Amino acid sequence: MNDTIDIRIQSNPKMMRLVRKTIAQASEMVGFSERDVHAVTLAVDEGCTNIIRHCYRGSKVGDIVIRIRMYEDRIEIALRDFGEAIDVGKLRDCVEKRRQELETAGPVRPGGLGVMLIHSVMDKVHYKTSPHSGTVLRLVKYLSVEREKKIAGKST
Amino acid sequence: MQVKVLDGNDSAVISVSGDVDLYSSPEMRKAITQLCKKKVTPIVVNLSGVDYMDSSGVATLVEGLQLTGKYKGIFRIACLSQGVREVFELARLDRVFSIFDTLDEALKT
Repeated sequence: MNDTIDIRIQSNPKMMRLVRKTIAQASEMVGFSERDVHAVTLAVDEGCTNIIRHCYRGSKVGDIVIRIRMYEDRIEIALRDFGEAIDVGKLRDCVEKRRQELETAGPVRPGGLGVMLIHSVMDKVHYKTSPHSGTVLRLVKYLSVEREKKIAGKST
Repeated sequence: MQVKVLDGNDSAVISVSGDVDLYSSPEMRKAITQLCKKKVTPIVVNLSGVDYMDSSGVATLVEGLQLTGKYKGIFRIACLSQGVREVFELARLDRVFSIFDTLDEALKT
């Protein structure tokens, strides 16, 4: 199975409710548990929120293209924007720093939570960015049973 | 999303319902900051009507915690749904906030 859904929205936070409902339904179709449906929905919401806030700097007229691919063992979601390029290295550093802060019960601050949540709940997170054509954020989550099989296969 | 504020003499309850995200969180932020300006304590945010919250909502609550901390006030959250609790756990903020299962507990303690 490889069913694909494409959605194109404007970078208006008002649209996020619609996106969440679509992602949740697609995740349910793949067979994710309620907990994982919430996790995938949260990751996509956070990805779109970051695009609106950082790539389009709050402008509501940028385009966001969301491609959902549903497989037997996983869901893949690509979020594409046409805004400012991002510094992937800086982003990785931010996630790592944030994780370290939380591990050591460091200072509580509101920034950087979204990226950390994306990395916490998805199995694969990959950014491809360009100063001329924006950024594609690719998110992958496997069904738990398939993931357990993969882990078991690696350990034997 | 709906935000209702019950502002008593010594305490306030902010009852939130609906999804809390980038679009709706400014309304919750407005309610929190208004109470913080008056140095109300304790402030209890009742999340019993919230099924979904993203990092924008969590960040708003972190801001509330920081603002009340400035005047040594108390900031509590109560009645988290499973989904909202998971977000706090993922962000490891469940150990930072005072989280209560019921509104009564949050107000009594």
